[in-house]
Amino acid sequence: MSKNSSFSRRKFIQIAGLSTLGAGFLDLGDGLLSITKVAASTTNPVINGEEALKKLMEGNRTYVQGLKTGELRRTEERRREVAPGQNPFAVILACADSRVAPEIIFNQGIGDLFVVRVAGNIVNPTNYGILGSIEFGVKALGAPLIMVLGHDSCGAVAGAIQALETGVKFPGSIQNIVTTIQPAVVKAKNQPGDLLHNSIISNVKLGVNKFNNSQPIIANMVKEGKVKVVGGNYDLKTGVVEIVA
Amino acid sequence: MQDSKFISRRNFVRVSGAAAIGASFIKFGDDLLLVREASAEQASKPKTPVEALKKLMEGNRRFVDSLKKSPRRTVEVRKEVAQEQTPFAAILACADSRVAPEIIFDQGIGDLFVVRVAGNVVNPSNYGVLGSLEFGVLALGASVIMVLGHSRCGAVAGAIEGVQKGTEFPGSINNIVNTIGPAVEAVKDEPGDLLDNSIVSNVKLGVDKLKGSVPVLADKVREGKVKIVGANYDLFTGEVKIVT
Repeated sequence: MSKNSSFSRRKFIQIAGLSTLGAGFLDLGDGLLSITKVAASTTNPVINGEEALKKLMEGNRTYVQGLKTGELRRTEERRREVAPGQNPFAVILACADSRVAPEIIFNQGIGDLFVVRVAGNIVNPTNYGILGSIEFGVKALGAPLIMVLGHDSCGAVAGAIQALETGVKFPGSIQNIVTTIQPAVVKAKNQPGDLLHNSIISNVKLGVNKFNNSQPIIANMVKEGKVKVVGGNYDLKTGVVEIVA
Repeated sequence: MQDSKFISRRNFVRVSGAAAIGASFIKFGDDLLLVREASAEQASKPKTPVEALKKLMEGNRRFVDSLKKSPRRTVEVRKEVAQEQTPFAAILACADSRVAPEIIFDQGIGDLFVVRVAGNVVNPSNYGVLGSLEFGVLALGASVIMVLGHSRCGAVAGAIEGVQKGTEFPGSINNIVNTIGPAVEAVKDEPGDLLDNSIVSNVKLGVDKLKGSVPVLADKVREGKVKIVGANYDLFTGEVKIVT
């Protein structure tokens, strides 16, 4: 445990470096580590959480207008530029829904967004794959922003409402996803307005809350001002992302 | 438990319909459901797993050759698919910022159901990943699932360090790395580059787990309704190669 908590950033850079330079890198000294750091920081300038959020929302604005500004960063040149090392400026937790690709709706390109996607954009320590990915994105890759992104008409949240109201059970692991979302539905149940919409927002807020309190990594980075966690909601028709938490 | 075993496709269409037009849909009758099923069938999308895989690989070829169409990303398509999604494939890819499936397969809004997690790990305790893929197949009718690894994967590199040096990583990162460990062990003594071999081994392990996954995916595979394939993406060339 103490080994865990004293784990250094260097170790992470080593791994992040590994991902860029291959396994042989393990045998090389610290000099190369600093080179990796420099090489990584040239693909996206170092910015803070506020600036990262502004950049995301600007990208969404151009997408809503029907522009494809992200194409400029999806070229062969860009692919080769970032192949040696990634330096994404934001981590996005979005739904697996085929209409909610963060790269498209924020008009970003190759190497810009570290993207975790799962039905209902759920957060739960049992799902260590999701939590660990986000920890990797902020700690190892240095992204200053985490956005939990819900979307209207979410099937997973609709399923959670249905399960709560009718007791229906879904097969396989789908039921576990639905169960994870249910506390968000319970919270939204007595609010005025559309239950599905309210539950979707409630689910995003629940996720943001869990990240802000997530030990041993994210909560500390938030406290130190190194990471900002926000919640957004995406409108499938208008394409607009609205900040809700 | 009984319920969960025998839940019909109709119930799923109902949920996925609710996804498209809101919870009030649950109150509508079966007629509307049938209409929606019919319109989903009319959409021009691959009808078999083989066609679906072909469409994916053709899109990747365009990306590699810098002949991308960047299809179906207009305001019109956005409005059209806002009513209902009918993705033709489900992809499990890495969270790596360079491996966005929509970009590397040159597909548009509503085409791909995408699950992403560091090291594209599959494990039943991570029900979010497994349940998402089950939802993509059962509720949305995706006919192919692709597990997509990529060159220079940091999560797999971490797993190698974990296996070789016993390094422990903080938080949940360590669990991801441990999940990949058996894939590294399996190829440890093979000739060639250990990282490259482990990445492919990890993809194969994921495909095996999904193919054997009860109660949902194993049956669909046996019935020939779903094809599960594994592939590897090259960060430099942009090429996706089928590995299993």
